[in-house]
Amino acid sequence: MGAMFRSEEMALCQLFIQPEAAYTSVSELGEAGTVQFRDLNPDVNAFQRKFVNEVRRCDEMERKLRYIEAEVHKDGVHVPSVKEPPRAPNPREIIDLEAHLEKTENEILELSHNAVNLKQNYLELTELRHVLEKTEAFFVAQEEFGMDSLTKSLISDEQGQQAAARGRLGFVAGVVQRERVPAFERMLWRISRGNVFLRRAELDKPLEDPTTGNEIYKTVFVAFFQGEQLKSRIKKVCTGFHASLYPCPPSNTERQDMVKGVRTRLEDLNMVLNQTRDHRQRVLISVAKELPSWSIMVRKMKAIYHTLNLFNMDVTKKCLIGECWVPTADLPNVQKALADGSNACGSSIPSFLNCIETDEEPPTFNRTNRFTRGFQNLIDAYGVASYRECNPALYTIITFPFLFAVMFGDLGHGLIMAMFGGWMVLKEVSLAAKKSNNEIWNIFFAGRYIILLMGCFSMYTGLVYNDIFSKSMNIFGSSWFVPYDNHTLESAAAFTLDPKDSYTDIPYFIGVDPIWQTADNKIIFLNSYKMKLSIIFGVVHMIFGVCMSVVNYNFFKRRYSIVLEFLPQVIFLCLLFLYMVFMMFYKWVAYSTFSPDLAYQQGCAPSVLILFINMMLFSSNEPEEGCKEFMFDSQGTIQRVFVLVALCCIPVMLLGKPLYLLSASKKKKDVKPEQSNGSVNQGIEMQEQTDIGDGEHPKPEAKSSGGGGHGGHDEEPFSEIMIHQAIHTIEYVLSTISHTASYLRLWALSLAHAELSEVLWNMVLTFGLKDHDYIGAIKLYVAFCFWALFTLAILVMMEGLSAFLHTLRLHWVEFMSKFYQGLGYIFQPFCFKTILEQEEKED
Amino acid sequence: MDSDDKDKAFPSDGISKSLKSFDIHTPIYILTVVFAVIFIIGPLLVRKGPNKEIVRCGIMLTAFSMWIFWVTVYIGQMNPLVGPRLNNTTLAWIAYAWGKPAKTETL
Repeated sequence: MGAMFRSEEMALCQLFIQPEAAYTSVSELGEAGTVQFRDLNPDVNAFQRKFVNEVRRCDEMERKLRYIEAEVHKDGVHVPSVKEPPRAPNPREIIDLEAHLEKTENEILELSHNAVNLKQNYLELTELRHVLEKTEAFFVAQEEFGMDSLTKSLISDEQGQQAAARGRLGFVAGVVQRERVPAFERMLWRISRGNVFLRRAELDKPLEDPTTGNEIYKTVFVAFFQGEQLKSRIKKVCTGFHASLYPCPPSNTERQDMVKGVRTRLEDLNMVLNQTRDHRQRVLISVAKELPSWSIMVRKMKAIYHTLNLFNMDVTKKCLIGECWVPTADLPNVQKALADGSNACGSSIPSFLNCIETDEEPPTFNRTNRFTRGFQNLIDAYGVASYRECNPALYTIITFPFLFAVMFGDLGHGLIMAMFGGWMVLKEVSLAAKKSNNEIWNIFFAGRYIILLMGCFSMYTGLVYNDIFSKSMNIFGSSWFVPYDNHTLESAAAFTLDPKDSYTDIPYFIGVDPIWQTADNKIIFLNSYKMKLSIIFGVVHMIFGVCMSVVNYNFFKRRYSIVLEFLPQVIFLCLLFLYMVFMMFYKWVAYSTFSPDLAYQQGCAPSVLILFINMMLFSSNEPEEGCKEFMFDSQGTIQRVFVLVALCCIPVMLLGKPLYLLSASKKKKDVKPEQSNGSVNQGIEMQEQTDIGDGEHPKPEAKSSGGGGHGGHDEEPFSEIMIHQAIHTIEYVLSTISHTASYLRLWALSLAHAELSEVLWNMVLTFGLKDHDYIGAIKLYVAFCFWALFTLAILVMMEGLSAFLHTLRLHWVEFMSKFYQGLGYIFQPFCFKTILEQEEKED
Repeated sequence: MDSDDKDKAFPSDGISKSLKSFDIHTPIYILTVVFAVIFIIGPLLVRKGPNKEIVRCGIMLTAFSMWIFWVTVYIGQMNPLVGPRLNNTTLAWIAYAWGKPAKTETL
């Protein structure tokens, strides 16, 4: 049938590739992305594989690329995104690329190193300049002080002369970090016992640390002392506090010259620094242009060599052998890729492909496009389908949004959801290019088609439920009218309209009658209606699920299961639950207030649930006066027959298949000795060579394509089969009732949604709708803001997620448990696109 | 039909009587035919392409689910067994707004 009906047919192929052409061939296969390679060297250590050196080279290149990338990002150079990913480089290009990368890396390293040195120099010179400038003030004061002390003798004469004789105060000047200044001062005080005089001035502008690039605030200090011992102690303290000391000439003229010299040197250094920075910028910009394509090329190279490591070299060392799973439909593509690979490298001997038969279960591959991928992911999240099993995703495309809509049914909210989905779909190209990291957005975007369909169906169910933001629309004219006059209306506060008097007998054309929206007993009517609707949908959905098993039994050639498993299952389900659905419809049609027969008027309508329970328990109720117990004649007998036939189906379900298999295996034993079908995991022997050299593998058994994996059934002992069948039977019988009841969540969630919507309107929006004057406009503005916020957050977002989850559960458990095996493994082809995307996501 | 217990002289009575000739099953037939047409003819109109089967399956499932949803609502409301319970003010307004005003004179 079509694309998604069941997973694609897969073939196990052996590739024979010449070693020279191996790299290019695998590169072509990676671009095509249609084969999944198997590891032919599973017990070989990663370090002992054939192409481990090449992988090391790729790792080295990646390291260099990462370094260059880090440098490029540090300087904030813009890296353009690559439009079309380049192909993997051929061996000549690899050497060029390696050389280029090495050169660039060395250049950048050298530039960085030089920059650090230059910055260090710059820092020292700047600090020296600051020291010279700031200490101007100190020395001027000190000179005065010194002169004065000599001339004025502020200290006592002899001491002053002694001091003068002993010499002037020595000093050290330097720069220290601002945070360390208090500790520094204290330490100096301690070591000198208060004989050190410290002057300091803070630098306003922070200085750049050359290695880290951080900006640090520093303080200039000058420490005055007397004596050489103190000097050495002070110097030790300075080194301890990482303070840099600078030679500062005491005399003014020398200082001025030094300042000028430092200033000119600083300007020169600045120029050199700027030039270095420009050069580095130019190098980085020129590299940045090619950086993304290089990194893609290196990644592809690495992937190719990892794949080549999975290959096996044959004994004569003449060709590489690889094994892969290929979808049968893609075999021509693979052959073309191999031919391209051989041509690209100019090899004379072509590579070829050989399909082999196998007992192993192939991977499951469903070809999806952007629309069907979302639905396929929903199914695969539960379990990947077994090979060539019926794919439920095809039906999920419609049933999932529809069951969601039954729970979400509101025209207004559905419109919001459909608009959101529609926007994402219309703008999908530009939104996909943005590559956001926000996981929630990515999930919503991946499900854009699901959201669009859910919104559209919700609009339909909202139209039928006649619910738009908790209000009803009266499009076709209500079927109910008011039979009372004003006087009667004034006599009581509320009236229950009797269908006899107030019903026009013309049902509302599409949907629920709008009169129910304002009714007090709306819930009673809606409950009855929605519960029945849920059961109807549930039974239909489950019968559909059971019928899917026929397709699987037919395809896998287990036709006996159709009679022994499917038939009793569907008869059981239909005779009991489809009959209940029939009773619901019959009651709706047969009982009416306008019926001439008293037994078929509204007072006598029996409860469908009570009838069903009585049917199952073989009991009966006494009907009321003038009423009949059953809805139609001979219903009693029919019901008894149905229940008995359904009960008879249970032993058929339980014993049918095991007894059949027992007799079938007995027959086989009588006819011929039993062949060993071989274990499930068989190695494959090449049909070209007689021995591979690493172990013997048993010859594969050719089996029909549909048999895969099920041959093992014959091997199972009877007790196993019996136990399995007993479990299946109990599960099925109990699930008919429990799953049917589980579908009532369709009713429950739609009731909750309607109630929330109504409460929100009545409590929030009516606040703004009741006034008649201008204040009312402002109130309405505020009320609408809150109402809209809560509608979006609670009703659309929260209820939407809740209904999504419940619909998912209904599909996974109630629908798929009727036929789905889900024991396969997914096809993961060697495809550059997926590898690159995965690595980007990890980044 | 059951005119013996309907001894009121309301104008709506005449309307309802004349409209009783309208078969309540007609809309079921009409819409069932519409949905059946979509179910049967729709898949035949799908263009050739890789997704033909998916679109066909989708059309059939959509037509069936939408029909069953509608037909359940319609049949469920065809013969109501209880009526809505409304306030007298709501009833008065409904009677006025929906073109069947309540009579002013007393019985």
